[in-house]
Amino acid sequence: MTEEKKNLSISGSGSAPGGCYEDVKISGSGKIQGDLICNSININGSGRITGDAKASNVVISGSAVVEKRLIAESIIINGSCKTEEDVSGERIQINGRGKVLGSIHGENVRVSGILSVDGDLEAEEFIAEGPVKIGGLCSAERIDIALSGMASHIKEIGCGTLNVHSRFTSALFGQLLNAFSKRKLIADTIEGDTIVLEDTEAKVVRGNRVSIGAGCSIGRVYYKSDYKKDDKATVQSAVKE
Amino acid sequence: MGLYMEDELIAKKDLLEMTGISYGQLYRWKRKQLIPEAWFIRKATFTGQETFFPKVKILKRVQSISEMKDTLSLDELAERFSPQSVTKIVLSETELLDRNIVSNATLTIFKEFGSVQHRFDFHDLLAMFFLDHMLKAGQMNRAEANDLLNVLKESSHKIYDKNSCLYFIRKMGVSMVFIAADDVALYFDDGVKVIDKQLISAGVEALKACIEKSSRDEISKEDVQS
Repeated sequence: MTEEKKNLSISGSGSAPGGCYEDVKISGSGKIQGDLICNSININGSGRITGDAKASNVVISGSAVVEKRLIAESIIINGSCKTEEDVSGERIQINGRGKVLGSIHGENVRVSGILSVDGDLEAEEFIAEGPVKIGGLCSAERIDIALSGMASHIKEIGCGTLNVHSRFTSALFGQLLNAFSKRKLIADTIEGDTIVLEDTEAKVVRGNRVSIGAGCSIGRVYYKSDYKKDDKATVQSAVKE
Repeated sequence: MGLYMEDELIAKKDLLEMTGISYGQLYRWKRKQLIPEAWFIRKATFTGQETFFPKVKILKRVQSISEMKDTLSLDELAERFSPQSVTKIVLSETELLDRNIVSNATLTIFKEFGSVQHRFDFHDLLAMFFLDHMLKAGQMNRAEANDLLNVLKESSHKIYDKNSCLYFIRKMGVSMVFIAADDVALYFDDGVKVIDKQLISAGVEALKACIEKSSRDEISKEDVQS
């Protein structure tokens, strides 16, 4: 197998068949029909792939739609990307806007833009600085969520350690901003070994060590070893298991 | 563990309490697919939605993971529990007989049915394993054995990871072997007698345990599976 793979470049407007390529670049508006397997995908304009997209590196600076799965070692989304099935990748970084109709499986997932996932999100490390919306289970060894202007919605969280904190905690400017913003995390259930929350609304929180910080509104807390509650938090009931 | 009913469920918090594992571990094992997605059963309870597990299966699995996790990495464990991992197993004719995995008679029938071969992959082994079981139980004659091997050879590899079920039925002396790709209820007319019903996944597990046990006996390592 020494057949050399060709590069594919679409500048202007065009469409190309899927298949195996080395580097794929879409600078204008391009459509790739069928599954695409290649080393790198670079989309600067607008691109649509009607099948699966598999690559080592994917960088989307414009806007892209993948009609099936997106699978890559590294995925960086600076623009916007919609994937209609699952996304998997070792390093997934979303600086722009990501929309996934399936689930995400990754090692290291970082969101500084906006992410919405209809299914589950699984990772070793999940760091979110922008608003996220996860329709299923968000599961990771370590989850760090910095709340900013908008509300984040996650149906279920299951993790080793979870840290939810507000971005501006003490600065006067921050406190002013707090008065107007709707920033919070809304979840049904949160389960983990170590859970530290701020500005979170949840029905049930279960963990070994649980700390409920300012701005939280929690239905029931079940804890094993430690439990702390801030004065500015409301918890309907806390039970040691 | 034989005391539990086959489909008895255990709530997540009871499982954690009973086994001493933490939420973090449970979710980690789920992410690594050490625990199949299908075992997470959601049910509404008076405290909201809760997750339950098939009790016998999950307790056995947690025990296996706990015993092996010190010597194997989670990825190695995942490979071991994966329904696909078995497909790499290949045994020779002598290994097969020496280790008592199937009887000589079964092997002869299998060789008459298929091509002449001396090494058997997992699909072959599974087919022989089921055949051996049914022949030994005295449920099946040799002509029917061909039907069984036929359906297994054609289809079993497609349905390893599903909840599929092998049926052997007879009506008025006419027998039939088929596989349902899911464990669904089937309703027959009165004349039909279901002679045997085997879950493919259970067969895969049993055969895997059987092969692992015999390999372990050879290298005289401690028994970890059962």
